[in-house]
Amino acid sequence: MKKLFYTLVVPVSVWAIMELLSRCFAGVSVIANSADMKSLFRTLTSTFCFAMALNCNVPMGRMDLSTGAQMYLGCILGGNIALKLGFGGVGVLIGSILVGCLAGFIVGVVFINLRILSMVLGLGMTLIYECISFASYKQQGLMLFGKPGVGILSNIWFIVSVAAMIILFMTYMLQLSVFGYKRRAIRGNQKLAVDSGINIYINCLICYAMAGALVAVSGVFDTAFKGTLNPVLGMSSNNNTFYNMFPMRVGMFLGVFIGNPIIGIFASSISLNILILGMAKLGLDQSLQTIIIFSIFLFFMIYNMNQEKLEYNKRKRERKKIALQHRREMKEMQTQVNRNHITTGS
Amino acid sequence: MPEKTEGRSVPALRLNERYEIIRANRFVNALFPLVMFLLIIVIFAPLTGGQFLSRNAIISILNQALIVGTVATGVAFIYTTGNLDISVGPIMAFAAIIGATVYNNTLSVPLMVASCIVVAVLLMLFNCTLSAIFNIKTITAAIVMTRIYGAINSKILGASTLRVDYTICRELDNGGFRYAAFFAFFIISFLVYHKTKIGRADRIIGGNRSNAVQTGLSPNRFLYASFLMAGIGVGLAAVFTITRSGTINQDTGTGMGTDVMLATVLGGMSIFGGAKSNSYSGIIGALTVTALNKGLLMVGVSTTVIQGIRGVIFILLVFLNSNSGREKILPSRQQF
Amino acid sequence: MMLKGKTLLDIRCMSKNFGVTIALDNVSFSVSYGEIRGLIGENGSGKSTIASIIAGIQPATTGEAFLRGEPWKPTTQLEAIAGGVGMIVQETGTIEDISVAENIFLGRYEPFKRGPVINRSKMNAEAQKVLDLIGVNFRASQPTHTLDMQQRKLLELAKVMYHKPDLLIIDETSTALAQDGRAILYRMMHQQVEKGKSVLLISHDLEEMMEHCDTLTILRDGHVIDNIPKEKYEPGDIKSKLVGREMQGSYYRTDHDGCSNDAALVADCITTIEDILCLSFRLYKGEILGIGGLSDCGMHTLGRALYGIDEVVDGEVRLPGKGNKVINNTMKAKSNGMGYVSKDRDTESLELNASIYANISSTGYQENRGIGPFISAKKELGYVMEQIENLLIKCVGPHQPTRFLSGGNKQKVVFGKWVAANSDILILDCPTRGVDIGVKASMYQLIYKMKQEGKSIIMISEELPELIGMSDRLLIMKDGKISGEFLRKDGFNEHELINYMI
Repeated sequence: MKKLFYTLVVPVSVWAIMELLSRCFAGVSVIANSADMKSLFRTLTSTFCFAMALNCNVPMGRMDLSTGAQMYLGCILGGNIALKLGFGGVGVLIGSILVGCLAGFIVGVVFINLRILSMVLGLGMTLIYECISFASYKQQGLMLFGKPGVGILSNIWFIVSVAAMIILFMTYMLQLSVFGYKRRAIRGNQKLAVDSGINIYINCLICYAMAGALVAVSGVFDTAFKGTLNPVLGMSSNNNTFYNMFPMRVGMFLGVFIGNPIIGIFASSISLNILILGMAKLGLDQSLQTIIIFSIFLFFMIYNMNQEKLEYNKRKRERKKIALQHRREMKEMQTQVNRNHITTGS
Repeated sequence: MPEKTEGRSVPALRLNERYEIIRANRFVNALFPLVMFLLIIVIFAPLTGGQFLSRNAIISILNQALIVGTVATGVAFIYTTGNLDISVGPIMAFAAIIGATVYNNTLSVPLMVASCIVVAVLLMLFNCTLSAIFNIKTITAAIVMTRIYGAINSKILGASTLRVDYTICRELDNGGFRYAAFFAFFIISFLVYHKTKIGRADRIIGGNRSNAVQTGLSPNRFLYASFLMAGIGVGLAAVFTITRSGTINQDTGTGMGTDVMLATVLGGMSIFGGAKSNSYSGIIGALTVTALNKGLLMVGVSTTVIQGIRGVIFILLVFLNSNSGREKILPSRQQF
Repeated sequence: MMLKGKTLLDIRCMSKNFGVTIALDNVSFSVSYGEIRGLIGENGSGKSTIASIIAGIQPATTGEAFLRGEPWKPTTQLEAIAGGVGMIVQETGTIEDISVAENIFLGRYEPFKRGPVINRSKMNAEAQKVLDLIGVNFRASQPTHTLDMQQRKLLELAKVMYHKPDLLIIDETSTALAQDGRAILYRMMHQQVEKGKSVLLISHDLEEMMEHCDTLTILRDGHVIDNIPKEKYEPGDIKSKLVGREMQGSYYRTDHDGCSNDAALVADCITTIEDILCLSFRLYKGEILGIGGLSDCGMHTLGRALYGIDEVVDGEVRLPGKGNKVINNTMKAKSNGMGYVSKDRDTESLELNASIYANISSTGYQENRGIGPFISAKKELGYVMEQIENLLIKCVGPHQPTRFLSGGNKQKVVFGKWVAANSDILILDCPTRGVDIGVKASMYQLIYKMKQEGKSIIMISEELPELIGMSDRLLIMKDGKISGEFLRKDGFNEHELINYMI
């Protein structure tokens, strides 16, 4: 029951607040019709997949900033290859996953061999991957609008199925499998994990490959929603990475209470997309939405990073109480000794 | 416990040990970026039939390098402390917006300059506060603030372009204002970095924070000083941005964060800070990367491929500069 | 049972060096089946080193080991446990992020694989069996981060016991356990022996060792001094063997100079978050105050608290000579003439990638100013070179990175930092750790010279001889409190000091 509560509390609260604001200021519901619901599911799946991709590496101390660029590469190369071979939407999805997985894997290989901090390596790989995505297919990117057979990517049941499969797959990988067991051990203490015979390199490569695959799924659904994915240069792909750090981080936080980070991230993804939907209903433009979302992120980070400090202060207060108690006892003892000294005259 | 020294013969140095010793030599560190720069000239001069060394080309390189170089000179203070801030692009754009707006309303160049610098300094100090007081890692704070500042800029500009009277820009440009201002800033930065305790303390903090604290240095105090210097650099770069073209739009400042990192590593400094850091890598690296860009463009390489080449060089140089040996565990840094 | 009395483990002429430091010197001893062997010795005597070699954590430099008559040279702990030797280490051996059962089966999950998943219920059930055998009060399915320190140590015990080792090595584990935890540990030890298997117990607690061990092997300075069977246990004799050594004449001080009656530092009922509760003492001008005890007695925390690194939550550290200035952070400490040398030199007192110049000059930014805020390169170089020359720091030049220096020279750089800063009060935590004998002697001379100049020194050390050799006054700490105070002029008695420590 408790877990269910933690799962629902944030999405329901966000929905309630946005519903109130939406009705008061715009006179409409946040989720007014099936189009809204469909739109919510599509964006939510995209956000969820990207946040899950980040979750593969960030908790391990690897903030891979090339995740966005992997998405572009996976979708543009994989998607176009699939279209050229005459495959429909499912082919585009699978093709993107394969290329995205490979892209992530390559970053992992470079990381293991060069041992550069993941964040910095990510920046360099972003430059390279963006270059490849941009230069391929005459800078056209991936165009799904009007292409045959890609309609399935906009089918709500298909999207829900894929999301469900990902939840099941990631729950298996991170919570039930041997890989997940080893991953948690490595996250806790790399050295102890190594001493116990765990191969940290293979584990790392799998994390990177999974992240690349997940981020490609996110990109495909996003592209299907918008109709096209235009390649970018100048580290613009980082925008996606930064944006999805928020649901990932809040999801990790919720996951501690729920006992499952995947559900936590799903809950935070729903919450974020309800917030965005609500803000759109209120007529707030993109810039204002970004400012609001990231300000909330900032406040959350401030709270999160200072939790330890609050606990420390609590311990400090308790310790001080003990010290004061000790002082009182010492004083009483000294007073008693002095009294005895006076009484005995010794 | 009494110890005995052992009469062993000294084993010969292995290859990686020799490499480490060479890399640690401070003359090698100082010469490396200059050698890189000269190498680029040597490679591209013949490839472009000498055009690479023409007056126009050189001025173009200098002008482009100036903006990145100014920011990189200021941001060097932050890198030295072992922190990273990639929000300099949107901060510079915002400072430029304010500066341009101030000029358009007051027609005062000094006020324009002052407002650019003050705004940039305030925003950088805010970033610093998130780290120093609220314990958010600088890179994480930068990621969040990049988006917020970027959105604010978008909100102000919309799809339009902010213009400043081009005449005044041309005057400032031709009058050597940019070069004079840059040199003044560079000299001040150099002096503050290498001749006062700020640079020295920053290096100690970036190298080993526990050691710095135990030596009686306050990491927060020096972090604020570093962000202040960076803010001045960013503010000045905002002024240069305005005077360069007289326009500010959505693309202003895009990619500045990584351009500065690339310039820094090309200039021979590690972006992770510490002992081998300095204040001049930024400008040398900026010149090198701009020269590299220009050279590649001149031989017909597309901007797309240039970006890819920059990525490869960046990774290579960071790797060469890094200290991580073949340890049993992989590098990791918890950012949240 | 048939094997009882026969040799299980045989160590022959084993030595271990760490650079110039000799941790073990030609150590030989054996452990029989069905025996609880105790390894006792002061800090740095080599007990943990030999245990870690037997358990596959590190290799010996020379010498041999035989287990069940076969050569024994495990390269990893995994190999050792597979061969029948399991060790509970002093440091943390559990991972917080996973469950109790997952910790027990870390690296050995194969039996619980059911297709592509791990059968958690089977894993938990198996783990619960060994937890029930040991008799602990936590469940196999619990997340490890919910366990306290004692429970985590017992989890490590369970992890090792699952593999039914023939030789169970316990390194300083009882100190992490309360009464009930110790009872569990002792019960497991005796059960082990009843099954004809063996235990190697390392502890400081002489009473505990004498009660539970069949034989005590005494180590000192990396040598085996004696092997004493239970029937011949005599506490006084054991203690004297622990510490008995010839003190070389002028290695330490030979004087009996006193010190001033003016207090340089007052610790007034100071309490830290952990370890120290209402501790008070004074440090006088020109005094070398030694603080000794076992490694977990709280003396290292005390040093950190006095310098302002660890927070003092109640009470005060004051400097009477500086207008009773209260010291609550390192900036204030340094600017009021205090200095600190950490026992973790490489990670806390030095910046290894920086040059000798950068390290030494880091305390002199104020003093070496020339015009205005600008630092005079000439003054700064002088500041650094004076220390290089006076301390005879062996280096290529002042710009050599400190990571290329030997341990002794690195320590000299750290000293040089604070000597150059002309610190009035210097707190030294294990100042001669990892340093060769020549450098030690020069450090002692330097410390004495500083005393003669009227400076005050707090010397925290795990080596009794150096505390005895150098201190004007010696405080012995135990469990976060001062258990004894001794004066140089009265003569230091090692045996008495040990009593106050153990």
